[in-house]
Amino acid sequence: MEDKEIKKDLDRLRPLLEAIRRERETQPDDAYFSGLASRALRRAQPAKRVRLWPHAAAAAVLLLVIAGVAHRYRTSSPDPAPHVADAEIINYVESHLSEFSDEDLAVFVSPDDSDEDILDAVDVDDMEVEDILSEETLN
Amino acid sequence: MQQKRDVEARIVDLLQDPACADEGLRLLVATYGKRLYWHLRNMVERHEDADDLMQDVLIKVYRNIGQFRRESKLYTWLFRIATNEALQFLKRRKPTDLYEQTVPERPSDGRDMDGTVTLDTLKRGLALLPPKQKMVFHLRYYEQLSYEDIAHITGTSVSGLKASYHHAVKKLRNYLASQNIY
Repeated sequence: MEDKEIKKDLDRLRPLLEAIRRERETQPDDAYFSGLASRALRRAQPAKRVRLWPHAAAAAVLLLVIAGVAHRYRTSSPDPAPHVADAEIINYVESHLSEFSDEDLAVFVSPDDSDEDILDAVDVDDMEVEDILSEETLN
Repeated sequence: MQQKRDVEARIVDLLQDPACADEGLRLLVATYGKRLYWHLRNMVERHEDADDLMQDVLIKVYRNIGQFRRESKLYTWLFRIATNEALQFLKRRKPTDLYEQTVPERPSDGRDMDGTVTLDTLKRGLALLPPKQKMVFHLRYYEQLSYEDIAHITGTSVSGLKASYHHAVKKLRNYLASQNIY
């Protein structure tokens, strides 16, 4: 009973369904299927078939470039507060000693330390230092 | 039938021989490429998605042909891999993506200028079927596979497949009726 009902429905739909089948026979075109296997093979090639040395050389060059950029950044990174002299920073720290924790004070800060070292030691970011110095010390 | 089996055996022989595997994949695509593509396209709707999945399926077949034991037919094994890939893809895709980007536009009145029923409405009806019903309808009607083969591909019982097919046809009929076409 059920099968007969399906068959009856399908018989009525068949002209349309067959038109869709005919459309599918020509889409996508043959060029698509010709290229399909080649594209899959390019992606599926096992690693052993790939020459390793060009990849290793490229990786080494890339590492050197990254190391060079990192070094350049370290040696030429902008001063976080260029308009503030080191002496002013030291004066500020000395006059606000009570505001620093023991842990902060345990770190020795000398005039020879770079800005970066000082910032690392007191664990504040550039903006905080600049804000503090410009609002409280310089004004 | 014998010729079909010979082609399948040839494809497997080539794919399982590392020296001839590339040739095997080309023969596989020439033999089953279009059927696999439309199976995937039918499930995911968009060409771009079907194309990506085709690549994934072919690579899986190429790399895992050693696991094919020749106890089943090659094409049911292929369709099984393709079905799993498509179902996983559909799980990842948001339902809104499916509806908004893949269902064809509704035709203005469902009919062409000359009064013949447009195919677009039927395509829309097919696209709106639930994934499982869509898959069963495609494999049964367009691929003309037996329920036993479809059961092997989908891991579903034959009675369950018959019910899905029945529901799919019924929904198509009702959809076309709601568009004053059927």
